[in-house]
Amino acid sequence: MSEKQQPYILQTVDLTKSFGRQTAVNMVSLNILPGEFVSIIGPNGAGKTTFFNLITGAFKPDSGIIYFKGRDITKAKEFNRVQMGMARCFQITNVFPHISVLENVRLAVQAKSKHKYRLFINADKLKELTEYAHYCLEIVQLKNMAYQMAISLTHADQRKLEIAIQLASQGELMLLDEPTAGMSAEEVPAIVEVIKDIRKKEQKTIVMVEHKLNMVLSLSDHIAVMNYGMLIAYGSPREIKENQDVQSAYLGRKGDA
Amino acid sequence: MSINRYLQKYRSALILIIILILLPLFSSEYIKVVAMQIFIFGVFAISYDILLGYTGIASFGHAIFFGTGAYVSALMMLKAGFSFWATIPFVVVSCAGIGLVIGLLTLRFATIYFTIVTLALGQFCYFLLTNALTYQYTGGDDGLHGLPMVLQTKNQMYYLALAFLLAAFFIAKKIISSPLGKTLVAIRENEFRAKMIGYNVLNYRLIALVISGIMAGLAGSFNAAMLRSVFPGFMGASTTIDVILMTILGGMGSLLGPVAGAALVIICQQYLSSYFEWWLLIFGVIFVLVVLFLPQGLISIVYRFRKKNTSGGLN
Ligand SMILES: Nc1ncnc2c1ncn2[C@@H]1O[C@H](COP(=O)(O)OP(=O)(O)O)[C@@H](O)[C@H]1O
Ligand SMILES: [Mg+2]
Repeated sequence: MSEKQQPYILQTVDLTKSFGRQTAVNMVSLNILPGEFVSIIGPNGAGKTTFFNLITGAFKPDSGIIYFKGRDITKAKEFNRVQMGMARCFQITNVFPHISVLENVRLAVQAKSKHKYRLFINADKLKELTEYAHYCLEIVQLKNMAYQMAISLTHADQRKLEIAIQLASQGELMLLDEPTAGMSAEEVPAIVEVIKDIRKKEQKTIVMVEHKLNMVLSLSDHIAVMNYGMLIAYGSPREIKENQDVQSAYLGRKGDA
Repeated sequence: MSINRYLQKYRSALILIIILILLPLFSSEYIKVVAMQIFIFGVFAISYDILLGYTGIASFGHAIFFGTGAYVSALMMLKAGFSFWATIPFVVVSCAGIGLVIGLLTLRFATIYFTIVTLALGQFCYFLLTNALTYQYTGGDDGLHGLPMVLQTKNQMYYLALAFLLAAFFIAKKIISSPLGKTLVAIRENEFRAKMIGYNVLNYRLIALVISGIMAGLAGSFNAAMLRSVFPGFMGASTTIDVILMTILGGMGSLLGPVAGAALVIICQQYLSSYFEWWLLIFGVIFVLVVLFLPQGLISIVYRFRKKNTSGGLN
């Protein structure tokens, strides 16, 4: 069946993935319009990260289809999805540890440039790449750390680096997996500002997994709620706040982190 | 950069090159031969470093390329009357082809498969050279001898080998600071993340393997031209072990390290072996000590020393 719904930038149809007997993602169908801000909430272990892993190609689904910009990408390689315009940041920081912060970001810029296979030019002399990398670091307020090794950053700064790398990928679709995970309360507003900024200036489509509810409620156009691998609710922030199932599955259990 | 600062920055390198240029004027034939071996194995070790140190994949059969280069040149010169230089394109193509085939078969899986396959293939190639069926072409265990001279004098050969090392070093340096080279390091550091920012990891590894294979093959050709002989040992496990030792002892991921490693291993082989019956044991102890206490190899001593000396300066 090739019923491609053109307007959606991302569409999943009955996406399913099991690990052994446990179904981490269970028949999840989600449609996301270009420019939308959709948050995914749900308790730990609900399958949110696995859902991202399926969308980005880190895992192959057991069944179901993924359309990105109208194309079936269910079997596409992860790097091709990035080249098509996806960019992701990881819940568990995943950077190049023994490479400088700037180079971490520059590599992501380079991956999307026409220079990526060049052999006989000094990479550092490609000014436009380095400048864009500096710009991304400036956005996340890491400019002063540019020449440190990534591994020497504090946890919070590594989170910022994650986001800078993602920005550097210049994806139309940004998948943010708990961007503020493990940050202290004082550091969160800056990241929220960054996300708002991206939204306003660059008109990206953003899908964000986040536990901080006020952040989710204030940023999102729509909220998807997952529990036990299933999508149990989908709606506007107001609808979700009032939904009984959501109350009992998630909002009731505030202590969840 | 002004000429002065340029000279300053590369002072030690320039001094070393000048010494190497002057060396034949006051050294014995024997020293020249040892030096040429070092230059050629230096290139071989650089090629291994590109693979192990920069791309992070371990080959246990790197001698396949070295041997292929040597035998392609030798066979074409002896059996088909080619000049040494005319064999070079064939060496390049055959080593690139072998690299591509091995890479396409193994590199899409975990890199351990590549390691194991290269080990097996190395043994197979050695067998190919030494069995009875191919004897009439390869000369079996005896190898092939009497290759035509490439240049008239030993000194000219010496300078050719030196130029070969300098050119290989320069090209490798260019490659590792290029977008492609930086991507190789990124893949070594975090393969998954490299994919997730949009790099086709398989392609990069293939390219690295082909570049490394070509370089190793050329080193083999030059070795054949210099010795005017080839032996099946060129293709054998001991040659692979030598290049691994050179790269790790000298310091992988540094280009200069493997060249220093080549010098050390060859000098030890030449001199230690004639003084001590147990030289391999001594060598083994050195190796273990370096791996344990100088994981960046012997070259890291030089870098540390230089840092201390320049820390008061500019930058
Ligand atoms: N690579 C994996 N192998 C096995 N089980 C996994 C793997 N990744 C996730 N899971 C399991 O799938 C379930 C969903 O996990 P995850 O997607 O990380 O949840 P969330 O991000 O919502 O907290 C969990 O029970 C987890 O243990
Ligand atoms: Mg998660």
